[in-house]
Amino acid sequence: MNATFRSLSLYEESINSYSLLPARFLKIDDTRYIMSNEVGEFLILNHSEISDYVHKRLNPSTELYRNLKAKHFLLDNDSTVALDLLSLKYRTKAQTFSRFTSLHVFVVSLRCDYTCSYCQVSRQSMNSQQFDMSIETADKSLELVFRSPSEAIKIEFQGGEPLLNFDTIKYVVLKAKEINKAHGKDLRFVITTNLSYLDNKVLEFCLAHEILLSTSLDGPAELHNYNRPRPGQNGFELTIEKIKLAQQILGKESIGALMTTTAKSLPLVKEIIDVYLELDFDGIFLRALSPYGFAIQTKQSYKYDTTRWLEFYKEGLEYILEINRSGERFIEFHTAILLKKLFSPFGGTYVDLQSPSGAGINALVYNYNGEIYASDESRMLAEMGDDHFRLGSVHENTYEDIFLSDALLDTLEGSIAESSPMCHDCGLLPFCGCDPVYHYATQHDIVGHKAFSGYCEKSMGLYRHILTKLEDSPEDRAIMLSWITP
Amino acid sequence: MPAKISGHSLRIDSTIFDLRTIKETAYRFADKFTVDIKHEGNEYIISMFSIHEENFDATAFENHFRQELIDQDLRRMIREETSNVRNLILANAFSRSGLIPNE
Repeated sequence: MNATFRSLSLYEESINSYSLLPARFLKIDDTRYIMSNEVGEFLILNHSEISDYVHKRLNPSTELYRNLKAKHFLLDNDSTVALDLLSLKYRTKAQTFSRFTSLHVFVVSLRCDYTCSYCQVSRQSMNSQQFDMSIETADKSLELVFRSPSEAIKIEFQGGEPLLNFDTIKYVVLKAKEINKAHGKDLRFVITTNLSYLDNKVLEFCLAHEILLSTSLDGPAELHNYNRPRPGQNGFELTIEKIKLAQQILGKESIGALMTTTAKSLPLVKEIIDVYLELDFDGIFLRALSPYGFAIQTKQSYKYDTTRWLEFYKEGLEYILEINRSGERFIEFHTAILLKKLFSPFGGTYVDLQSPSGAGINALVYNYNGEIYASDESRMLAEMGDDHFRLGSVHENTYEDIFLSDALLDTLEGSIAESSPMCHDCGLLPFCGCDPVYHYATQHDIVGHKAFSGYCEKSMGLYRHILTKLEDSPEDRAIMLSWITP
Repeated sequence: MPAKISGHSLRIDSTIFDLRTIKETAYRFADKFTVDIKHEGNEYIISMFSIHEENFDATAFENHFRQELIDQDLRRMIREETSNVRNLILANAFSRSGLIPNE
């Protein structure tokens, strides 16, 4: 007989003839678990299925057995390439680390016209020009930017309010483009701005150099102006006016907005989403308040806990799904990031959700004075007087000094989830991270005790909710997966 | 003000569950309970002290702890069987990577 079919004996193998392959699992609700492997393949199983799998009570003729085998959770006599395939997939995933640091954040000024209580940096008054980045510092920073092995380089201008030092922005853009002629990297620019100083001159420059804008929009006028006070209390009106202007001149896809959640935002998730809809944005990122900067000093982060924030997120996601069901495509970007982690081969490059952490290797922050930090959160801690994550200075250190510094290497080592208590056997490990800066900020320990971690509670809560939605509603599943389909 | 503490004890057969598994289970509840573990004969006696509540539902918590203990034991079984093959996969993944000179 032609060997088109596998031999009958294969299907008659006695139970208990397979070996386990590395696997981790985590309960996602009362009855179900996510079980994942080293390369991020996963299945949703109930407890008895996991127990049968581990105790080798599965029959090879069952669908469960075939699924476990196809996803590389077990090895039997018929598995010829499973280990090689797992190695190759692991290597491919890890290879992204060799092309490190694609995001370079230039803090071109600490000055700002707003006085937001949650502001994550120690903003400076409008006339304190000593807190602007100089041309010399910009030049030295650019030398380091182009040492990065990454083929894609994004330079993001932040503040304070970066447009208060627009001359340095212009200088960096033109100089970076000049330097890049010798490198040929995929070079892009973003300005994170409150838009107060956006005018035609700035917009023309952005248009000419394909610079994207990112702004802050916290929701309806009363909420936005409460969260983001500005002299004259016209922050909301000004922001809306400038968003519309930027959309008109640069195109809708060239400006995005981010919201920050405060205690006052919690009952208003639908109203917040409506503001984004009215402005014709293609989605919203429902963010939690970070525990850094003034947020921690003013106790803002303790006014509501992670559980309450998760309720806010779930209510918002439900409302967004309703909008999508009615035929309008509108994305919840936080969910989309987590879906990419679950379903994309490389999982995306979200700094907070990877092992080791993206600190320094996904993003590097150049402060106005040339000091270098592993992440924006690291800089915020430094502004509060703790420079634990300061990697060096563009004026004093070489690229090698910075990337071989204990500050960076210890941080990366402490953020390897595979060796962190509770993370190492968690079913979400391939899709999550350890966030050393968060745990240092909240527990004074870069590894942190995950039972006490708001970061862990938030990640688990988000993934549990998304996974149960994917499992329980084919309609919601189709909508959510469409968000990560080009 | 010090936290109010309430206690509850349960017994675990030490011929069925090992100490590491019990410790890993207790670690996961560290935000709710502190534990004291004693070994007597063929039993571990786990004394738990609630950090937050004076009158907690001891039965519900014990059930929760025992369920988690079973999960930790399954994790132990997977870890023990697969640690060698995991090392093999990782060694194979990073061989011929060019990271080591003259490789």
